[in-house]
Amino acid sequence: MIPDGRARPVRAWLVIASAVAFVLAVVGCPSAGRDDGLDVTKLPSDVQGDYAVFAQRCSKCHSLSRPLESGITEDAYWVAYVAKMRRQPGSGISRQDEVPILRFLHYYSAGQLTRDDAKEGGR
Amino acid sequence: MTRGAPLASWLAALAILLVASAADAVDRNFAGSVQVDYLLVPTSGGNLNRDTTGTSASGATVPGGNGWYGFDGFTLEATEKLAVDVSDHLSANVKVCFGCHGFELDMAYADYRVADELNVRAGRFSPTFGAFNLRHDVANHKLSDKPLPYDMGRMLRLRAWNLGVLPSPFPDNGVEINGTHWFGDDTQIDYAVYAVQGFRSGDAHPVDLDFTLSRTPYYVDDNGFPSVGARLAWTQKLGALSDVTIGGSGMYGTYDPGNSLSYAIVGGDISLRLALTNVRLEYLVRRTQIDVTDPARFALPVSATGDAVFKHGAYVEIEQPLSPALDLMARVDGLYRVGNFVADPEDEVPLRRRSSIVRYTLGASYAFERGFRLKLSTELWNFSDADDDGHTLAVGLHAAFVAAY
Repeated sequence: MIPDGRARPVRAWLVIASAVAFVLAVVGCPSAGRDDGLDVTKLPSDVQGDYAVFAQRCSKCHSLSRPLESGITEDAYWVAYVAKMRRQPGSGISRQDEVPILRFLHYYSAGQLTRDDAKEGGR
Repeated sequence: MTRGAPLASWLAALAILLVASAADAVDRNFAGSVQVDYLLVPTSGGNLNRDTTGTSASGATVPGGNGWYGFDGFTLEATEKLAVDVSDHLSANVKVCFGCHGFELDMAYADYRVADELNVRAGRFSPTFGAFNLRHDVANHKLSDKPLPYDMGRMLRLRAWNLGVLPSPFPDNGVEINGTHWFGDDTQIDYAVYAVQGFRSGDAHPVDLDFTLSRTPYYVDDNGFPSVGARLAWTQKLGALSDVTIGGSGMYGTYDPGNSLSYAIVGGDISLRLALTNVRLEYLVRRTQIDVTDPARFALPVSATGDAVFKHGAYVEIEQPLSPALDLMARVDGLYRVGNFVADPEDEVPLRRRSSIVRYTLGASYAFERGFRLKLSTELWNFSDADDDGHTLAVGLHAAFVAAY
């Protein structure tokens, strides 16, 4: 920083150019990185609709990594937690939405348990 | 902040843990986030610490040592939150933050829910106001900084403007009653009413809210008059994957020890969800009474400006996922201030009776890994008033890593 008010054009433009290049690179390589949620094309067709409701409702206030990385695998916990989220102001989660959301979370948790078991078995 | 405050925060967290353990709680949920952000301001346009001195590139001593434009450089925001569901009706939350001013207790409250439509909250919490505060955690908004109406120290010229309209979060001690009700499956109504300590000022002749004092021990009110407020919001489903929320909020209280100077904040917000696209608009205005018993302190004639300052703030933003890992954001936000201000003998305060800031932001948020993101954004600032170098434009560049767990 130059406190007497003079600009630093070279440094600034380097940063801007880097940022733009980064964004273009990412846009050009959509397979790079990893979604905060799940790749919907890799989900069974009967789960995709449930996931769509989960993704739309549950990303309104927080990222999808919150529930997906929570490590929760118990259905009873999800029932209580989704009800808690439904009561959040402006959640947009109705009682009817709870059904597909819980169905997806059950599917996801079951897969997570299988993955955890596989990890345990591999040790 | 005093040295006792971090200790108090951790003791509160420990107390919640102990209570939760003793109650054999049904569920506990621990979550946290951390963001480190680098802000580069390669242009002039700010005037933060004009009373300090620094050295220019030529070696000359000049006013404005560090933070000439704002808090550029690295800043850290970290939070740890524990939510405990003690029973079907009783739950508790405690959240500790670490930011530019050290540890803060963002939440320490209990909820007693009689029904969806009636929940009693007591403790320390941010009272329900506006739409943004629910997403104020760095993991829950995809730009590095907050919209200007809610800015808490990342804006340029923050000293002259004394931050935004209602710096977020705004935890306070008090009681809130809130609830939600669905009409059928498509319409949701939320409400909240509350009484909290309110903002404070330690100035013998206050001219604005003192946000630093308001979050500094002792955590007690400077007058016996609580601040009160309310919010009402309507959410309407527009389709299977779309909805809109329209809300209105208000807050009123006094902030001086004499209980004679009031502040009133009102706001309106609209949040539109079209599949995964978010469009958000919000407007706030605060009317703050000021002490004009000594007209000589002010830059403008008191007879012409009255005893109140109005600060308006607004933002509109669009958040659009472009790929599974990449979101793009565009935001326009601003502040508009009308009223008097304390005179500066050196006439370096870049304010007039009517002053404004408009900021244009473009940003991207890229997920390397689930829960780990890079945020990049660039901002163009347009000030109505030139600084002492004659500049009205500034550029800010943010690069941040944020993790949520």
